[in-house]
Amino acid sequence: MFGILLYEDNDSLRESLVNLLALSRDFLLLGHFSRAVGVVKQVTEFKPDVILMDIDMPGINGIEAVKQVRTVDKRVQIIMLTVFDDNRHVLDAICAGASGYLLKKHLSDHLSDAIRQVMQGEAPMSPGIARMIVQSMQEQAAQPARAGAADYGLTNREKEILTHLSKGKGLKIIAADLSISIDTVRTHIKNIYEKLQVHSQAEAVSKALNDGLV
Amino acid sequence: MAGQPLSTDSLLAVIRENKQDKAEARALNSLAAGLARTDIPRAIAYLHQDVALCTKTGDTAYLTRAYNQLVTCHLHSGRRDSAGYYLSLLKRMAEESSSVDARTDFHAAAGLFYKIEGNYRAALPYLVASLDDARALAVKDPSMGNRTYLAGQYLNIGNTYTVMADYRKALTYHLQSLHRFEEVANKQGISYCYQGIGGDFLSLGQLSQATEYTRKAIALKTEMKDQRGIGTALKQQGSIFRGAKQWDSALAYYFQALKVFQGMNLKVEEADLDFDIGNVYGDKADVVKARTFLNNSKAVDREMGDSTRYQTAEAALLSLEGRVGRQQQDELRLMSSLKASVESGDREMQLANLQYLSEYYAGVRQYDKALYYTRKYYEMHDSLQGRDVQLQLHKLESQYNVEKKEQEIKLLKEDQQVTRLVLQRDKVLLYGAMVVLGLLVLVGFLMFNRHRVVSNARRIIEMEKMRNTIARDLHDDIGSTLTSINVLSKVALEPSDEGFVRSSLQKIKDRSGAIMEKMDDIVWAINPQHDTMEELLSRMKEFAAELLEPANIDYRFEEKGNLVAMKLDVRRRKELYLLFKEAVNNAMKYSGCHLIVIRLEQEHGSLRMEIVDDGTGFDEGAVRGGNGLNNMRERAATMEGRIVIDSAAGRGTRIVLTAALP
Repeated sequence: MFGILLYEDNDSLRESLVNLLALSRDFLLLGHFSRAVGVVKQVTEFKPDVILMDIDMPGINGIEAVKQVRTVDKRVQIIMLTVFDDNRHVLDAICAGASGYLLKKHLSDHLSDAIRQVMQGEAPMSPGIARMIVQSMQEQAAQPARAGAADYGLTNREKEILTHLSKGKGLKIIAADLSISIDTVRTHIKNIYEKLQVHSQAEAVSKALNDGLV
Repeated sequence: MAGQPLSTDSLLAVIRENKQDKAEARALNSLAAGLARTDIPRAIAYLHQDVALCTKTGDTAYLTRAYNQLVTCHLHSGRRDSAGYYLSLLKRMAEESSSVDARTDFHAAAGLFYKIEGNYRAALPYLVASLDDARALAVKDPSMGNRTYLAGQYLNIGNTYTVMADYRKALTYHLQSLHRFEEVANKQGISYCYQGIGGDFLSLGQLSQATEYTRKAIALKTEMKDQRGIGTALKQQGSIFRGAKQWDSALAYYFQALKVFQGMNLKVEEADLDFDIGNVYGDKADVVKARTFLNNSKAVDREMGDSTRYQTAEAALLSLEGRVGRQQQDELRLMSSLKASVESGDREMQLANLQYLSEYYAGVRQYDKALYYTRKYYEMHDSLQGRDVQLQLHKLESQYNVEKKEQEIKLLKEDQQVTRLVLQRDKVLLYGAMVVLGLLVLVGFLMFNRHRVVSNARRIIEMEKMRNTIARDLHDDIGSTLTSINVLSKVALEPSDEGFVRSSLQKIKDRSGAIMEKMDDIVWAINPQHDTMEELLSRMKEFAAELLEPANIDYRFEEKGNLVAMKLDVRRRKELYLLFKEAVNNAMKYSGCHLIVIRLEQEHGSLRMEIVDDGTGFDEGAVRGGNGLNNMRERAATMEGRIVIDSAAGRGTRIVLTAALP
């Protein structure tokens, strides 16, 4: 039985999700909030297994909330809820420590699956997001000073998978193309997530500097 | 140059044994390196011993290393000639020997030599050569020591770019250095990098970030008891306060730093600091104290042979006094100082000299020249810092006008006729110049803007068209669906059996799902980032993956021809995509197929899309609600293309769309 915390500022949607989760015997909704302002206290108090976090909220937005949660809990799984394929924000959320994301239009059909997947250590990756990562690696490689860190420390295989993903290929096709199992592909994607997060923490300083310069 | 040093006692033990072997040479070298920052005379003594030993044993490797260190030590004590002597020895050895080490040592020493002299332009090629040496070495033998050294080379170059006012390059190198120092956990290196990064921020006027890094530097250097480092960090903090115009805080830090440098007898640093302190007193308008410190700086500069700094200090003094009597001589000296700083590539000095010249001319009331140099100063200042030129020029104009009015009144009292004529002429010339400058700026701005305005206008018009289409779509399609949901709910609320309620709710779920899908598509289509064929293909593949993989239907995409270069306008893109979705959806839902092939070809300027499945096929006449098929035909028509729907029961289905692209 997984414990779940929900953060969603749209009242109708939040109410619907509460009802949806109440139906399931595998999940227990520990609490639901319309703002992420008290997230650290709430996570410490409730000790959830999974957090459903809306990306776009007034006050502290979802990405900021993820950062705060990660300072007190490295293991809770965080799924970002997003309306459209908001690649930039999803990527930022991943770098901040999110475990996965889910489009709101897929909620009714895929929420349970998404929660289960994330608890099993799988991570979703859309072509748009894969493309953003590839692009950011290219941008970094163009700057000579960061040669060591330019590719987030990804292995060649991981970079390959990222490229395939960015072209829109599904997991099955990628597995077939590379002659590996789908599970292996999923594991690679999970590793990519982790490297993004580690890299982001180290690069947090540099990022700020670059933004300041440009 | 070495990594973390061995303990002093063990080194001394080796030397005492006096075996006159390589180990002894290395020990002497390491000892000297360890003392190089704290006790230079002793370090030099050890190095002389080392040189003697190596000359006797013919050990060229440690000999060149010893020469390198001697150059460094002498440079830091202000003995330029001695340093130059060892540098020439090193140069000869590098040229004669085939050893990489000799050349490496020479590059390093030469780089430092020119840097300390203030000749950054000459230093840079050697520093870059040193970096390449270090990188090659670290690749060949990634030991701790070599990686540390490499980090140090990045730092060197970063610091040089800082002085040459190329802050972007400086910061890139500093960051690379910090990264590498962190990798080998070298606190000393990290502290230097903090210092460098703080300095870059200072130069960019971002004082709070500069303070943050400088404080880190001070903390780390204090922890490491690096006296000289603490001195330079304190000095930087002083400069930060100076940037914030808090003169007294600035002086407080400067004097703390001065105490450190004097205690260690570090001439170069002292001269630098005297110069800065003198200028701060100048800013405070305390001429006497300013003069004292600037003269101090000049004296050490002359001893050190740093001609750039020397001349700039002179220039500072002159601008301070603004003497009228020896006008021409002073003017020449200021000009030569400016020239020297331009030649050496020291942009900070150059900026300072421009300011001195403008102040000087203002002091002797040659306003046309003062204006000229002030403008040059702001040009350079703005190109270095990127602030608003217009604002500065306006400020200057009003300042200038005020001063001019005062002079007019004064001279009128003395000699009305002549002076009025002279002033009027000047005024006209100057206003004329201002107008011309203003016009040039305006014209440039307009031309730049025109291009932007034109392409913006084009985009806006297309957006308008699209927006109208969307409004229509939304109203018709989505509006109708929402209405149907509303009606269904109302009907389902009436008393009836559970089966009916269930089926109504299912319909509501399906239709609202369809709306979400539509909205997603619309948002995607509007986004100009998705204008390319590449993006469209990617989205199509993504759609196929999402729909077909869970349904366990195999599929593949086949692409022929130069698809990526094709340009689809927004309308066609939308129709094509929706047509594709419709076809694939049908195949998945109704055909019970196992494989779908999607072929996209570019041929003679037209696009051909073929969607084939191996399912049961259908008979169009017999299909209920053939709206899906008609939709497809309509879309093809909108695209000004042709569509062929070829299917029969048991034969699978093939849909082919051909459309010419303008």
